Amino acid sequence: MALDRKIAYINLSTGEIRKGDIPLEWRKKFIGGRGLDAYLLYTNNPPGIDAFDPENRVLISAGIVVGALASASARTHIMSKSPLTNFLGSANMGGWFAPEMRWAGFDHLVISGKAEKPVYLWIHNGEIEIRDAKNIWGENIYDTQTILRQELNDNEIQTLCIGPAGENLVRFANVMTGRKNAGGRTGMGAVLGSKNLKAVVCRGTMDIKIKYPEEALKYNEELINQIISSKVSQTMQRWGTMFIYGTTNSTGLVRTRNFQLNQLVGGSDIECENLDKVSIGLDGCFGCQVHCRHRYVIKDGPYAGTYAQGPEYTSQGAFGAEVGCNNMNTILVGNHLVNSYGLDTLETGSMMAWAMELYEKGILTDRDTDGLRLEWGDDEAVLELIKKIATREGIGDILADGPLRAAKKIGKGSETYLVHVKGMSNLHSDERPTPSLALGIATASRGSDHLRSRPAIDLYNLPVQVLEKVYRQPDGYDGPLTSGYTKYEGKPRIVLWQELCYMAVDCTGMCKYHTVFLSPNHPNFPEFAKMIYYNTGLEFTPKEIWDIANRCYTIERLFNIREGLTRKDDWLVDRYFDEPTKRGLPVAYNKKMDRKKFKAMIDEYYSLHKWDNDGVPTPELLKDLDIADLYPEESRQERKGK
Amino acid sequence: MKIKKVMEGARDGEIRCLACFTRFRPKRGVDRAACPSCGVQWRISWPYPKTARLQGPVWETYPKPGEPIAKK
Ligand code: SF4
Ligand SMILES: [Zn+2]
Repeated sequence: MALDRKIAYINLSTGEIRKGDIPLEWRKKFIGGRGLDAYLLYTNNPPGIDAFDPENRVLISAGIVVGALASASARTHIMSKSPLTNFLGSANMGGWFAPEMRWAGFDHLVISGKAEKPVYLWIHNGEIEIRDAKNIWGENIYDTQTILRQELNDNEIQTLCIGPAGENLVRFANVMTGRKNAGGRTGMGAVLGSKNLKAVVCRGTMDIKIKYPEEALKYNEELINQIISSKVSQTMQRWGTMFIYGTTNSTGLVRTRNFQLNQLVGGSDIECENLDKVSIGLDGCFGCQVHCRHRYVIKDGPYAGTYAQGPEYTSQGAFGAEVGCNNMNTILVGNHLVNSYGLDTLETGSMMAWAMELYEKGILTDRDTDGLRLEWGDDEAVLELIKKIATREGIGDILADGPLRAAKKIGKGSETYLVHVKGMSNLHSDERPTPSLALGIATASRGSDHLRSRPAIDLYNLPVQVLEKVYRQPDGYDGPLTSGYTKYEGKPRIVLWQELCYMAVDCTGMCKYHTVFLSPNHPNFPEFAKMIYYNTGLEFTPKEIWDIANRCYTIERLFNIREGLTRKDDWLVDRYFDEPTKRGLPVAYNKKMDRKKFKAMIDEYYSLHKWDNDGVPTPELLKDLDIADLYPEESRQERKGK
Repeated sequence: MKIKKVMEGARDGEIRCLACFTRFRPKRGVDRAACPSCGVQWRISWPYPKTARLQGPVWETYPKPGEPIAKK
């Protein structure tokens, strides 16, 4: 049946592999995927250890309906302590790996220890082997997968792997699968690198028995129609997530020149419509009808003829607006380079833009950069710097350590120019005119992040009636909701709602674009309940799913609290409050965040969450969620003593 | 299994002006249109024949920083 997949505990130091059933009680409390990973990380990781300590666990999982009869049920989740932020590390990627892992018999891997020499895991029909990775260590993402296909003599295998960036312990290295599916943010690739774990390879033919196959099939059809009939899905089918730039750059909501500006004026070359010149069609993840990623061949320059996939909105920012380049080719090549090295595109772009501002201000000079002129809009410098970061060469070695460590090494007031939260750089969007989005990045559980709590539909200025339909359910919220993305009132609720919606979808293993992320009409709690029921037979009401998501999100919060997070970490850098925006339409022009109002938002957000004034979940909340044992009174007192 | 291929219904061909948030329908297939309410000019693209998308502004006519927008 759908719930018979196993959990495996793998110790790379000793070679011990222990397999077991996933207790039904865990399913009822955490569902699976990211939610259950949060519980497993919290209960298995020793508190306060270094992210590169062999005892730091890394979890790899598939959500509860992955590979089953559910649209875009394709996502792999990876979780660990982050070497970038020292808080929660969490990444989610599409592709075909997670379904294959389930067909090979496993839902969750809990990996500890460090192998003596590079290894990979070979998982096939209930078996797990630790194998020598000497043939693939040092190889890029694409070649690693090709060599493994040859070595295992099977073109159907699916591989999750790290590239040179992960091996070099770049603190924002990704894990990857396929040509572009990236488990990005928080440096999960570096954690694998620190364990000498190059790859996990899966191949399985173990059927997942659907509980109610006919109903599941029929319901999936309904769900697909719901998703496909939205304008946002249809636009993504043509141009992927790069379509978002049309709205954000036109308005003045794009971080440009490392936050000095909020719009790339005349930046028309990097608009998604221009992908038509290089695209040879679109590709998609398992079970998805949207197919949002372009397959393309680079046309110009030294990389002409190279085949790659993507790029996403984040790369458009990273190698376009943020670094002042209005050149589609730079985005296409930059996207190819970060994917082949296994680097986080967003963090790479942000680190480069920061370095460029430091160079502009004379804090970095040609001596620091080995003569590389880090000037805005210099396409070649951008591409060269990507390589330097991945290989930790020269200035790249410093940038590879992420914002806070790099600023410490460079000194000279360089930290003033960082745009980060909890030590992770912000997306290339400018949230100064948008308090709800600003609150989302300030409080997200994995550091500055647009995929864990962003109420993106707030940007549509939807009528209150539409907001009410989405944001009042499933718990009957009756507080304020406001239309208008420049407002502060009523926004904490929508951030909280999105947090729990994204947590729930990550427990199922469906794609975020198939829930209320870019469209208010996409599936959420009621749909998740039905989909889980038809596939697995597990019965939840929408409110019960909400409560489970809340439980899992609270555990993520507890993990961060245990690692030393305080209220001051849920905050934005001073630039948000002190530097007004200089470009854009009137709605986005001359905007900065108001400290007092933002503090009040955080207060309201904590109170809605039932967290105390320091952002710690209250004993009452933990009792309600039946996880009081995870944060006993002694821990609370110990924290107060500190 | 029947999947709807293009958006159907009242919102066909509609876009929303980013300056004043008025929804309007440019003529099918055009690549430029001015918002009927505030006059800001937009470049339009068509992911599907019936689906319009706001590609970006006509930069030459884009409001200067701080210049107010006249909404009718
Ligand atoms: S919408 Fe895109 S990222 Fe999501 S499952 Fe489909 S192809 Fe993958
Ligand atoms: Zn208008």
